[in-house]
Formats: sequence, C-alpha cells, structure tokens
Amino acid sequence: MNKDTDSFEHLFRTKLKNLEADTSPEDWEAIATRLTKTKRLAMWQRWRYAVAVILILLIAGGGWYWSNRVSELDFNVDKSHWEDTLNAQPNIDTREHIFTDDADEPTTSLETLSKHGNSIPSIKVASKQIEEKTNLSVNEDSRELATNIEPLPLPVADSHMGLLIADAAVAAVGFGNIKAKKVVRTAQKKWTFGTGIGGLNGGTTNLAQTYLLRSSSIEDRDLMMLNAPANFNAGITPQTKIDHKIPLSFGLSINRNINERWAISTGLVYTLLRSEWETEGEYSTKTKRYLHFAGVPLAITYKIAEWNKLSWYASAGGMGEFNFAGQEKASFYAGDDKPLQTRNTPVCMKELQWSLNARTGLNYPLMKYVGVFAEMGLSYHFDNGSKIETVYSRKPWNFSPQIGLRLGF
Amino acid sequence: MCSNVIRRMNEQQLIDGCKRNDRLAQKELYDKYSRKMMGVCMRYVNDRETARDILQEGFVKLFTNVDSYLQEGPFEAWMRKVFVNSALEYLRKMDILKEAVSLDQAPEASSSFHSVLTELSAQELLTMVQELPAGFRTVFNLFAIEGYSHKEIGEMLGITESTSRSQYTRARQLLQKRIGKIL
Repeated sequence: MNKDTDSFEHLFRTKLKNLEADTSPEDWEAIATRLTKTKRLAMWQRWRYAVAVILILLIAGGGWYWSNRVSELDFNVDKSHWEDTLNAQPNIDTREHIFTDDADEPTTSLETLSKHGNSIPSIKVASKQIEEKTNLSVNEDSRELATNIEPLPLPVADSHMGLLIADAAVAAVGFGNIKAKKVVRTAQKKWTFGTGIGGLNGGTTNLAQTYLLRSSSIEDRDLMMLNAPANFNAGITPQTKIDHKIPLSFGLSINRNINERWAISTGLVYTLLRSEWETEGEYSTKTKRYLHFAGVPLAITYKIAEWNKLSWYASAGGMGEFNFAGQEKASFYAGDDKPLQTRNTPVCMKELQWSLNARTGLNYPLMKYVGVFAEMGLSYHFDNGSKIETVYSRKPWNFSPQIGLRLGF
Repeated sequence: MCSNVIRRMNEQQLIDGCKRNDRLAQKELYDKYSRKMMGVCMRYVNDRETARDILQEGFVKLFTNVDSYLQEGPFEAWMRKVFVNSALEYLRKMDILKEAVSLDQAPEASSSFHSVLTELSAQELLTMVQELPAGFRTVFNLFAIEGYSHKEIGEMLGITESTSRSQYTRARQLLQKRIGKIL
C-alpha cells in the first residue's frame, strides 16, 4: 500500500476507532430486561430445586409405605376353619357348667375348661391363641395366666375368639389363687417419620479493634483512609462489630427401629446462618450475610426408659452439610442514614461442614400414629478451612434444643 | 473521592462479577464501555435507532457469553469483536450487505486529502462513513478501522478476498469524492 493510503486509513482509524457516542437511559433498561428473561439458573437455584425434589420423594415414599403397611395385629384367620369351629361349639350353658365344677380346687381355669372342653374344638383353639398372644404356656403346670388382656382389634371373624379368650381370663381370675400378671403389649412401630424445628442456640457478638469488612464494594484500607482524619482528631479506634445470629434449622427425619431399644435415623436438615458486620465513623459500612445449608444427618438412638407411654431416649451421630445458596448485602454510608451504595453479592461456601452431635429427649404419643418430642442436644462443628466466617467458626460447640412431631407406622 | 473509592472495582472484578450475573457489575461494565461500543455500532449503520438495537443486542450477548472470554487478550478487544459480530449479524439479517454501487458512480482515484482529513472532526468523518452503501461501509470499517485483513473479511462476510479488496477500493473512492465536495 502506498503512503497516501496508509495515511488515509491511519487518519480514519485514529479519529473513528475510539469514537464515543451517547446512549439513551432506556438502553440499559432494555438490556437488563432481556438479561432477566434469558438468565440461566444459578447453581444455587438448581440446588434449591434438587432439595425440593428430595423432600417430595421422601414424603411420597412415606405416604406409599403408609398405604401399603401390614398391621402386626392382623390375625391370619382361615374363615372356613372358623366357621366349622363355630358350628362345632357347644351351647353357652357349657360355660356355666365349667364354673360350677371343681370350684374349690386350685386349678387353672383352662385346665378346668379342658376337662370339659376336649370335645369343644373352640376351646383348644382358644388355648392356643392365648399362648401365642401372651407368651405364657397354658398347660397344667402353669399357674400364671395373662389377665387384663387389653382388647385386641380382632377382625370380625375373630369376635367369638375374643370372647373366648376374655372368658378364660375372667375365669382364671375368678378362681382366686391364680397369680395374675398384667401384660400390656403394644406393637413396636418399625418406621417413624419426624419433623422438627430448633434454633435456641446462642449466637456470638464480637468487637474487633480494627476494620474487618466483608464488603466487595470497599476494602478495609479504603475505609481506614476515609475515616483516618476524623478518627485521628477524635482519638477513635476503628472497630467492627461482628454479630453471628442464632442458627435456625428445620428438619425431616426418618427412623428405622432395629429392636425395642435401638433405632437408626437419617433425614434432611435445613439451616440458616445469618451474620452482620458493622463499622462506625464518618464513613461506615453494614454487611449482612445469609447462608443456606442442607444437611444429611445420621444417628443411632437408644431408648433409655419408658413409662406411661412417655419414653426417654438418647442419640448420637453426625451430619454433613453443604452450602447451596447464600447472599451478602453490603451498604456504604457517608454520614447519613441513607446508604450511598448497596451491593448484593451471591456467596457460597465450597467446603462441606461436618459436625458431631449427641442428644437426649422425651417422646410422647399424642394419637395413634402421631407423637410429640422435645430434646436437647450438643454439637461440635469441625473447622472446614473455609475463609467464610460463620457462627461455627467462633463457636464450634453449640447447644440446641428442638421440638417437633413424629409419625409412627 | 468516595465514588472513586467505591467504584475502584477493577476490570477483573467486573468480569468476575459479570460471570456471576452480578447486576451491579454488569451495570458498571455497561457504564464504562457503552459509549465506546455505541461508537462502534454507529459506524456500521446509518441511523441511531438501529445502532441502539445493535448496542443492546451486543451487551446481551456479551453478558450471556462472558464465560467464553478466556483472557487471552485485552477485554476491550474481545468486547469490540462481540459488537462487530452483532453489527454484521444485523446486516446479514437485513440482507443489505449485497448492496452494490455501479461502476458509473465510483469516482476516479484522486490525490491525497491528508491535510483536509486532519481538519475534519470525528463526527464529520463518521457521517461520511455512514453515507456509504452498507457493503462498502462494512468492508471499510473492518479493514481500515478494525484492522482485519481482506482474507479475514472474506471469511467473515462470505465473500472472496478479491471482492473485499474491490469493495474497499470503492469505499475509499467514495469517501474521497465526498471529501472533495467539502473543499
């Protein structure tokens, strides 16, 4: 290219390449509106939907299990057998005959019954049922019979059986020399679902003798520089008030009873951690941070004692939590109440938060499948090396009472 | 001083904020570069409203695809490419890149206008460029202002290298003719 061409292009490039032109205020609004519509889901929003799906699955799974549960109290009665038995049963007058015979001899009622009842198939069946339901051997050597047998929810076909069992028990007591043993059996619930809320654990408040900001809009040294003249004249030391609020948690749990004493549980726990940093002076800042955690606990529970349906238990376990969402709101003030600038920034702790806990509490059944519980717990949160400071950074040991409801099946 | 302190979010912080969809960072980046990018858009079209449309489209694309900036060069250069591509996409959509100027209209090459050019303002030069036919204007911008080679221009516009050269020559001649009228 010749010199003229080069200079021609050079001049155009020099004057037009960095040419600036005015925009309209509506341009940014139009851009922001389009960005809002086309905004992809932030990672924390995806986690929010994932947590919601897990909760729905847990509830749906519990409901499915509930609708398909098999009662432990069902009698597998062969109706055809029962019909034959009932048809073979003698008249009720036979019972009177049993009570009047051998009244002075200390024998078991069923022994007496058996003397007269060998020809009565229903009595034999009744004996067998008593053995099965009371774990007591109903034979000639047995001096104990279960009494005060609570009415069992028998199917309609077994109503006559229930009558026979009750009659046997009454007869046993009526002889006077039978050692009555009260046996109250309640069916062991294999699965329980619980929901609880807690958060009376204390937060922390500290006063740092310097600026410890958590703001992305202004740095510590910048604020120091701004306030330096006023602080120097007034003899004021820079301070930051750091306030970690009480953690709030809500959880859903699922428990599997291993036996009458031991159970294992897991579930899902949501925890909200709130923190504030505040400085004062001619130029001041206020930063608030909210961190949302989802945790999966695992614990083993031991029933210590039980009386009048109230049970006392203890449990120990651990929990892993991950921070699925968080936000930091930083406000900068220049002498008045209205912030000069406010900035919202998403915050997320990448490291998992691990903790161990031990709890003890009381559980009381309100209705057939619903119980209420209250417990106190102590937990220790391990230092996960995160740069994000939380209440657990300053207070790894935490005391947390909880109350809630449990559904048992 | 306060605003300078507050706004001392450097370019890297702005980029990181935009990647996090931080609206404040996006606004700050827009405030920093919108006038310059509007200047880019104004060079490719001949009316302000169309330039605004291209500007808005360019920033939406920029913020949506900011993750693709791999920091292999200056951010402004990468941003400029986004807006140039937005302008070219508009022109292709409007199918006005194929506008041609007949040979009868193309003036003969004239002598240097160096002294005249230096006296003209940027706005006057911009007006002259905007008066060019769309195809010539595009090639002129890409070659003379943005610095692309004719080969690169051919690939971008789907034309041959020789077509790009001839279109640039025509554009230059038209500009010289236009400048000649001022004299």
